[in-house]
Order: sequence, then structure tokens, then C-alpha cells
Amino acid sequence: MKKMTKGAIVTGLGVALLLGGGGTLAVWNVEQTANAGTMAAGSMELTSSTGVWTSNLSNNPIPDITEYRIVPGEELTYTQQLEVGLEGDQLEATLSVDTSGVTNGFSNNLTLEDFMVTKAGAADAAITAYNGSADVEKGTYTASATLAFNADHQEDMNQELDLTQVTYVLDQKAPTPAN
Amino acid sequence: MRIKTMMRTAGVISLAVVAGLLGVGGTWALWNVAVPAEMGTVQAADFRVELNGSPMTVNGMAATVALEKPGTALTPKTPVYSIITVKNAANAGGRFSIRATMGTPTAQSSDPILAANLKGHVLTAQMPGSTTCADATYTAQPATATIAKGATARYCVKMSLPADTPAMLTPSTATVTIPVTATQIQ
Repeated sequence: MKKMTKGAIVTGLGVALLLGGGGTLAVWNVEQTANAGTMAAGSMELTSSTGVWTSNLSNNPIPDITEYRIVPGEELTYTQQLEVGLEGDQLEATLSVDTSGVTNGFSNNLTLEDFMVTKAGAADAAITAYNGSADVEKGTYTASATLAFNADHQEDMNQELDLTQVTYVLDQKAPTPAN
Repeated sequence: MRIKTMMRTAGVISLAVVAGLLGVGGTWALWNVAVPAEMGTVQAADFRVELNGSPMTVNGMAATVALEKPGTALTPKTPVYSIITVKNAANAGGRFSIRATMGTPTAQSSDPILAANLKGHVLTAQMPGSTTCADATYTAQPATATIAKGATARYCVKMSLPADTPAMLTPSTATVTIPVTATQIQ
């Protein structure tokens, strides 16, 4: 009996040593890198260049619109470059013109006509309504608007049309999930 | 018991985060950016026309014009003249020209004979190069001139009496009125 006890103790010690050495009795496992890459969010940007006012009565741009005085029968056109930046595979956006802050002291003789936004080499985006919008893609656009001073009336000398609050707005379109 | 407490805590934290996001706004919205057009303010010009240095007003105001040679007496042999200047003083930003036209003169006098004799004998013309109104060419047609922005046109008014005017008119006086019309022509 003593011999059996001693034998068992020795065997236990052997097993313990084997387990301490590791490896031989461990369960299998393997490792592999998923390589899912790095995710980055896109971006949406809108910048504008300095706009230029021109008159149908002159071939030269108007240096300072605040010093200029419009007369009946005259048309002024405002032209400006817009840079639309859309970084995102599923990113789509619309461009609009917010004219809600316009203050017009003229009596229907001078109004801000519809904005036109066009892009060379692509389908033109026309914001035809006063506060309309149009789909745009990444790239450079040309925005223009016209003021026509009605020549049929004598009113409105010295009146002002405040366009300082006119703003271009780029809105992301809600993505449509795939079916 | 401990797990229940942890779950409750996690739930409260989650609700707080959601409430916080909703309260701040924006985080859940679609992107949008805006840029000002910087169009400035457009102002209409002042249609300012000056008649002998005084501003004319729309449907206007009379300006008194002196004789070219004050004190000169009007006789059948000696007409008298007045000079009218019209300046286009508009502050238009671009090209802006006007046409200023002398209308048909009318004469008024307390002496009806003088007024009758002046009728048809008050004529207007553009001032000649000599700047002497006696040298101008007068016709029955009203004088007219195109005036560029900032420029001035000068007109002569000739008042005369026919040779057969009765001598008894002396020393009657008359007032001659001439409507001046300025029209934008661009």
C-alpha cells in the first residue's frame, strides 16, 4: 500500500511537471489578422470666391458695389465661383440659396432674379426658384444672379436692396439604404 | 444582486447619453454647410438735375433766371436774353445721359398788350460757341441737348417785341415761364 501511495504521488508530480511545461496538453488555437482596414469619415465643404458685379452698361466689373448707384433700365449681374467638396462614397448633396434675409426698399422695380448655378462639363444645376435648390456633385460651380431695374417708373431714387445676408447652403441628402 | 446593480447603472448611463445627444442636436442630423455670398447692398442713383445751380425736382420747382445783362430794357429794337444752364448731376454708377428740352415759353404781364406782343417772340436756342446769346440761331422749335453725366448744357432765351409794338407799353413788366424737361436716355 505504501508503495502504491508513493507511486501515485510520483505520477501526480510528473503530470504536474508536464502541465507546467505547457504546450503538449493545451487545446488547439490559431490566430489570423482580420485586416479590416481603417475607417474614415467623409467631409463636405463649400467655399466661395470673391464675387464680381457687372453692369450691362459697361464692359468693366464694378469695383465696389456699395459705391455704385444703379439707374432705371440697368441690369446688374453678380457672378461667383463656388467650390463644392464632397468626400464620401455615398455622399450626395443639394445646393440652395437662402435669400430669406434680403431687405428690399424698392417698390417692385428692382428684384433679385433667379440664381443660376452651372458646372462646366456636367449637367447644369439650375436653382430656378427664388429659394430653390439643385443637386450638385463635387467640383467648381459658377453662380450668377441678375438684378433688373425696371425702366417704366420714376420711383425708387436712392432706395436700397440689401443682399448682405444671401447665403449658399450645401445640404447632405439622406442616404437610401439598399434593399 | 451585484449584476443587477451593474445592469441598472449601465441602463441609466445609456439613457443619459442618448438624452444628451438629442439635447445637443446636430450629432444625429445630416451634414450641412453654408457660406455667405457677400453680395453687398445695391443702391439706386439720385436723379439730380440742376437748373442754374438749383436742384430740379420731379414735376418740379421753379427757378428764377436772371437776364444776361440785368437792367436791359426790352424794346422793339433791343431784345433781351437770359441764360439757362442745366447740369446732369446724377450720381449714377454707370453711363447716364439725359436729354434736357426747353418747352414752349409763356409770357404773363399785368399789361395784356405786352403779353400779347411777347407771344411768339420768346425763343430758345443752344448757346453758341461765342457764349453770346445774341449770336445764337433761334427757331420756333424748342431747344434741346443731350447731357452726359457730370456735364452741363447752356441755353439762351431771346425775348423780343415786334416792330409795331405800341409805345404806350412803357414801363410794363412781364414774366416769362419756360418749362424745362430732363429725361433719362442712357
